[in-house]
Parts: sequence; C-alpha cells; structure tokens
Amino acid sequence: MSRNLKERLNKLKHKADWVGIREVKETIKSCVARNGKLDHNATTIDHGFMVEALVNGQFAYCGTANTSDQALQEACDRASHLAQQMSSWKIFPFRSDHRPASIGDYHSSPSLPLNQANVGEVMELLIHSTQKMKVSDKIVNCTAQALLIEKETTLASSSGAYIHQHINLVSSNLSALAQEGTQTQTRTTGSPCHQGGLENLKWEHLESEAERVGREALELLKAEECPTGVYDLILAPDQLYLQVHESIGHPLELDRILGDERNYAGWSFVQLSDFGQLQYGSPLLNVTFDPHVIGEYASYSFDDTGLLATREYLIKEGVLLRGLGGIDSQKRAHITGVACTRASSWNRPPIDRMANINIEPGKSSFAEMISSVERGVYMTTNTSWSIDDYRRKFQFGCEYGRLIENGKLTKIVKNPNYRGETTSFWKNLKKVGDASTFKIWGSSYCGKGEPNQVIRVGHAVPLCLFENVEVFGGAS
Amino acid sequence: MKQDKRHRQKQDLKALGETLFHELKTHEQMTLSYSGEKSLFIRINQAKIRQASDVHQGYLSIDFFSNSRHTEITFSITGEFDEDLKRGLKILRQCREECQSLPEDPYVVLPEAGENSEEDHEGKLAPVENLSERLLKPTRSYDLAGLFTSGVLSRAYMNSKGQYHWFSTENFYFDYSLYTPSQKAIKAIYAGSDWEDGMYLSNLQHATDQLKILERPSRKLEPGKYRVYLAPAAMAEFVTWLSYFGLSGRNIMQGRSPLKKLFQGEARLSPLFSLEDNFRLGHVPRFNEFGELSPLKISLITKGKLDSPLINRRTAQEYNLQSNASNANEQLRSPFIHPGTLKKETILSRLERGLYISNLHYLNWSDLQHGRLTGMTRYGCFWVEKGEIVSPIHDMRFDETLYNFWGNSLEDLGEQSELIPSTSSYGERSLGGISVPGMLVNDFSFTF
Repeated sequence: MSRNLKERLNKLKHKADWVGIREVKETIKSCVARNGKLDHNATTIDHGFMVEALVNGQFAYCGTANTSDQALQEACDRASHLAQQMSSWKIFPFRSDHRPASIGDYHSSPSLPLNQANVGEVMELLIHSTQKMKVSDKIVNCTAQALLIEKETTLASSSGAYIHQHINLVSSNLSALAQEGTQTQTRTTGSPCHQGGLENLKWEHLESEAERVGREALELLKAEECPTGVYDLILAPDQLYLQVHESIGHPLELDRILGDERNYAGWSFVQLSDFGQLQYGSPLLNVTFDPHVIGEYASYSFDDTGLLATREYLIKEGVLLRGLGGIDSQKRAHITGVACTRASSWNRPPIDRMANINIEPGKSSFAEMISSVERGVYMTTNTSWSIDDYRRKFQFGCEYGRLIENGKLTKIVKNPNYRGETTSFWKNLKKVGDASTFKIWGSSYCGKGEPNQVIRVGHAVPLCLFENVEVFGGAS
Repeated sequence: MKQDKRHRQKQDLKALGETLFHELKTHEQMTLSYSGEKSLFIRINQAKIRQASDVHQGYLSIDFFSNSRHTEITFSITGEFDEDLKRGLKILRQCREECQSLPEDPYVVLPEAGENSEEDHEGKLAPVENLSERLLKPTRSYDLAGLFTSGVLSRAYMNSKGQYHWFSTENFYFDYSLYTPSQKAIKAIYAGSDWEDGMYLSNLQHATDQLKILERPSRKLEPGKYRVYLAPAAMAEFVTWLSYFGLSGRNIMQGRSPLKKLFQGEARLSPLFSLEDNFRLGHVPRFNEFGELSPLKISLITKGKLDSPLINRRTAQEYNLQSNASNANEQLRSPFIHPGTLKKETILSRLERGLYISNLHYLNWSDLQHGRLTGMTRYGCFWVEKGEIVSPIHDMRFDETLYNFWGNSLEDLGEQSELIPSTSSYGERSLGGISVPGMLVNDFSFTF
C-alpha cells in the first residue's frame, strides 16, 4: 500500500472540481481438501487504484493496476475527461461536498492475524475435517474449504479525506454427500463467515461440526420427503439470514428504488413514499444497519465515499423507517439513508450495498418456540433461493428439516422448501428468538451492479417463527 | 498503432514468461495464464448517465509445480515489464515456500508441450467523445436503463514446456431495457465488434415497437400448467444453469449433477434436443487452463442422449475417464443448441393458447437431484389466445424439471439459433455467449 497516498494525490495535475483516490490491496487464500487429500490451493493478490473525478456535476472513474505516479496521473486525466464527456447527460448535478472530508481508520483486530497463516497447516486441518466427516461408507464425498481474506483500503481526496481500513475475514465450509442407491443427500455447515483471524478456524470446532455434518447427511438419506401444505415455520439463523438478505436488504436499497438496477438485479416494490409509513412486518420485527458488531462480516467505520458509518434502525416494530442508500442516493432521493456506498474492489465504482443488516433479538427461547407450534416444520441451512425482480415472490430450499408436531420436534424431513410473498410473510412473524438464538451469518457472494460487483455482507439474526407458510418437498 | 501496441503487449508477456521459466529448478514446472482488459463502462438510468468508468487491468496466474506438489497464485500486473517481472519473481518465491508445506496433489496435471495458437479479432469501437450523445439522443423520449461497455479483452497461456496461446478481441454491447409509465419493460441488446449508428437505431426501434404492446392491461394467471413459448433469451437462462452444475464430469461422478439420471441411462431427453460446445463460432479462446486446444465441436447431448459430460484432465485422471479438453470448471464455453423447425412467423399460431416468455430471472435448482429449476418470468411476457397476443402478464414463478421441458413436453425448437451475448462482468468482462433457438413446450408448471 502507498504510505503517502495524500502526497501522491496532491501531486496530481488536474482541472476537476474534486478528485479522490481509493487504493485497494486484497489477498484471498482459498484452500480446499476433499476425501482426505488436498484438492486445491490458490491465492489471489489484487492491488490497484480507482481515481474518481468530479467535473460539471458528473462523477467519473478510472481504475488502474499500474501503481506508478505516471499511471496515476493518466488515470486522473482519463477520469476527468470521461466526466467532462458524460456531464451533458448527467442524471443528477453532484457537488464536491457530496464526498465527506472524513479522517479516520478501522482495523478488524484479529487475535491470530491472517498474514501469519501457514497454508500447509490450514490444509492439514481441512484434510482432517474431511476424514472426520466420513462417519459411514455411505458418505461418498467430503469437502472442506477455507477462505482467508486480508483487505486494506486507503481513501484520500482533494477535499482532505484520509481513511485507512484494514480487515481480516475468514469463511469456511464443510460438506458431506451421502449416497444410497440412486439417492444422494448433501449436508453442509452453510459457509459461516466472520471478521477476524485464524481464531475462527479452530480444530475443536471443525471436528465436532464435521461429525455432525456427516451424521446428518446419513439421516437425510433415511428421511421422509418434506410434506406439502400450509404449516408454521421456524427458520434457523443459517436460513433466516438469506431471507433477510433477499426480502429486506435488497428491496430497501435506494439505488434499486431509484431504478439504477432495473436492467440487471431488478427494481423494488418499495416506493420512496413508503419510508416512515409502510407496515413491512409484524410489530416484533426490528431490523438494523449495524456496522459495529464485532466479528460480523461487513463491519467497518467508513463507506467508500468516506461517509461515517453509524447504527440505524431500518425497520422498527414492523414499520419501515430508512433505506439502504449512501450519499449519492440520499441526495437524489431527498431522504436519509446509511453509509453503504461500497465497491467490490479498486476496479469498480461504489454503489449502494448491504453491509451488516440484522434482526434484533426478541424474547422467545427455542424451547418456547417449539412448544407453541402444533403443526410446523423447522428448517435449517440454505441450499436454494430465488426471488422476483421487485423482491415480492420468493422461494427458498433448505438442507435439513424437522417436523414439529404438538409442540415437539419429531421426524427429520428431506428437501424442505417454502415460498411466499415478502410483506405478508414478515407480517406473519409470530415469535422472535432471544439472544441465546442470535447468530452471526453472512455471505461472501452478493452480486449486483452494472458493471457487476460481488460484495461481502453480514447478517446476524435469531431464530424466528412464522405462521401459515406454504411448505413443500422435492420432486417425486 | 493498435497492432503495434498489441504486438508489444504480446512480446512483453512472452519475455516475462520466458524469464520466469528460466528461473525454474529441474524438479519445477510452471504455467502462466493471463487475463486482461481495457474497458469503458457507462451506466444509464432514465436515459441519463448514472456512472461512467474506464478500467485498465491485467492478472497473471502462476500454476507452480514442485514434483507432485502444486499451488496457484494470481496477481495483478501493471503492463510495465520491469515491475511485472519483480512481482513475478516474488510470487515464484512464495509458490516455492507454499509447496514446501503443502501435501502432494494426488491428481496433479503437469504442463505438457503441445500446439500453439494466436487469434486477434479487431473491431471498430465508438470513441468516448460524443458517445453519450450517440447513445442517448435517440432515447430521449423513453425511460431507459442499461449498461454500455466496450474495449479490448485479452487472454493468454504459456507453460514451461514451451506452449503458447493468445486470444484477443475488441467488442462492445449496449444491454438495455425500456419502461412504460406503468413500469412494464422490454429487454434488448445491441452487441458486436463494429459500432454502427444505423444498426443501433434499428435495434432501438425494434424494442420501442414491442413496448407498445406492454401498455395493454396485464393479466393475472392462476398457478398451473401452461403451454409456453420460451424465446432464446429465456432458453439461455436454462443453459446457463445447466452449465453451472449439470455437465461437469466431476459433478456427475460425485452425485451432484441434475443430469445424473441421464448419465445413468434412467432418463432421456427429447430426441429434438441436441447440445454441443461449438468453438467454430470463434467468440471465445479454444485453449483452456491446461494449455489444451478444444476440438472445434464437442457433442454433449445428441437427440436426447448424453454423449459425454465435460471432462477436464484432472477429472479424467481421478476417475479414469477420457478428457475432452474441458476447462478447469467443466462449464460450457460456447454452447450451441441445435435448431428445430419452428418458423419465427408461426411462433404465435403454433403456440395458439398459452404464454410467450421473452426472459426469465433469478433461476436456481429447487431439487437438484431431479433436475428441477425454479425462477421468475421477467420483462415482456404475454398471454396468447387464438395465435395472437392478448395482453402482458403479471410475473409468475415457475418450478419445473428439465426432464419435462427438454423431455416429453418439448414440442419444437426455433428454426434458427440466436447468439445471446454474455454480459457478465464480475471482476472482469466475460467472453462469448450462448447460441440457442426458442422452444415450444407443453405443460410448463407455474406455482404463483
């Protein structure tokens, strides 16, 4: 990373109204073991600059992997020229004060930093995990993978912003495939992901998870098909996080509501006039944008425009309050938002993204929740997801289900799926799990934007109970 | 000038490779894969410029082998020889260190000598000056959202056994959608290598003509089975998902493919259905990450029967199969579905009563083992009666197995395959596209 990005910025010759430089260096190590052997070991080291220039009210961007002063000057010239060329057809007249002059830093403070990782030791851990998963000869394929990510971002601007953020991230997954005859069933750990270091990849934890995953894959082979009908539904955090992501996070993005995403990811059923008005879910539903949860995947202090990130309620007691939009969208829409303008890397301009979008814990224990259900299904670990471009009609599939009959968990069921419509589903939220059920989840792969960008998001959620949900199983 | 720059880029890359190969010890081998682009992106909403960006990037992947130990490191390069060599040598040292601590790779695929290749496809791209005017002036009276992108894409491969491949292409696309005041939309794309204002205007005219039909009131359909025509863009979505999971030899051997039943001979698709990876189309490089050149045509499914899945050298080694020069992911690179007999002008009359589906959205496997896919209708989809479009429809969710829509229920395919260009740009712009006809299907299931 440049130690003197501010000086390098000050040396640039330009006639733009404002110039910013975002430098990103990211190292991603991907280690995969399969059936007791190494499968794949790969590292990506990416480093580059994005120069942003404001000319005649139009921002434009130029990205370069060439880190020399000359290349930086050329990038500045190209960004300024592009902004000039595009400015006659601008969608909104942006100003230089739409880029905050923030100064600060953020570090994810890992106990065991990833730059100390030995790939041989990580691979050994994964190989042992695949051996632990093979609890029977019917377990025919076992995979263990780890993703170790170190990302450093520095932002400097002609209005005086200077921000440095250094983040360590760890994601892992164990997967066991069981086979009997022509039938196969897969059970995984659902790709847990955390901000932090190698302390998130402990053998004691992997060992017990490997045994569980192997055992549950076998259970699914013998399980009945998930029944079809209208049932009460309890979702575990490793499924609920994606329900939040798809049916709360995306529809609340202001750039979608403003139509920027219509040609790719889609629009939203939410209108600008809905903020402060719309009953999005039951009064038990409280959703926050919280960039300060320690260990959650998308914690940070500033977004990629330099806006200071603060915790805000998006939905309180079921009422929609605030959208997911950074400074550009807030100015265009004339409403408040959050600090969430983020780019996947140096080579893409920042856009409105989710970060940590969480459901606040409620008061129900898991036991209370189960005992309150006469006829229901408990579903855990996402395996399939799909939703329409307005974010209304969704369908999800999970790996593992259990029937709930007369207040008790009973049979295991395979191929559990459910479908519904966003606001009626959230209005049927009847119980929210307490802090003991609250778990940090997230995803490394949220896709959006033109040009396309994949970004990491965090979702910490408790167990939740929904009434009257359309549930079904696999094809006969 | 353009040729000079490209020639210099190739020479620098070759020199970089040769210098790095020279550093190898006797028990070491190496492959280098390069992927780079210079791309302009213009993002549009409400027929105005939302964001514009110009990106120069290049990545070099080193696959390093120390006897049977193997690691891979990809790093960004600058295009300046001295700096890139410095980075390359540092990465080489890192590869050596990693290999010392890693176990042996049981299915290691070592580089081999083989034939070389070089392909350059030049285009005439529109300059950035006045581009916003050329794109947006004709769209002033419409609500348009989309992405224009253009530039040069390069891919290369070299190995320490002397093999060398190069592919570059200059192209553009304008992927856009037009909206009615009631938020109904039509999707269109103008893509190619030579930008022509006349062709663009004609493409736009075709899209705006379709927009008029969308002004009619929408019909809400009940869940159930319907007769449908799926246009080539909708068909391409199915092929994309089949490519992600279905045709990989590795996935099939590990029981993770929706085509398992086809592979085991327990099921067949319609004799009307034939799929191949066809490199004659020239949209993508024929070489893969192992340095192999694919045959010009790989037959995968012929008349409903699986000829062979996609098998790369690593899978071939693990499962004792014959490689068909597939890529590392064992995904389709230049898919082509054979056309049928359905003439464009008879689509509506042959459909007679049912749904005309132009696009699909957000597909996913709802039951992978049984090849069942779910997803949504999107953009211009219409209810047809007596062979005529009656009205647009409210979007619907489908949930259907490929053994049905490419099996017993497949009635006919369009008489021409159409290239649907790949517009994906995660990390980098993708190459090529999917060549497919539309299809007429009986009994296609919609849920709500």
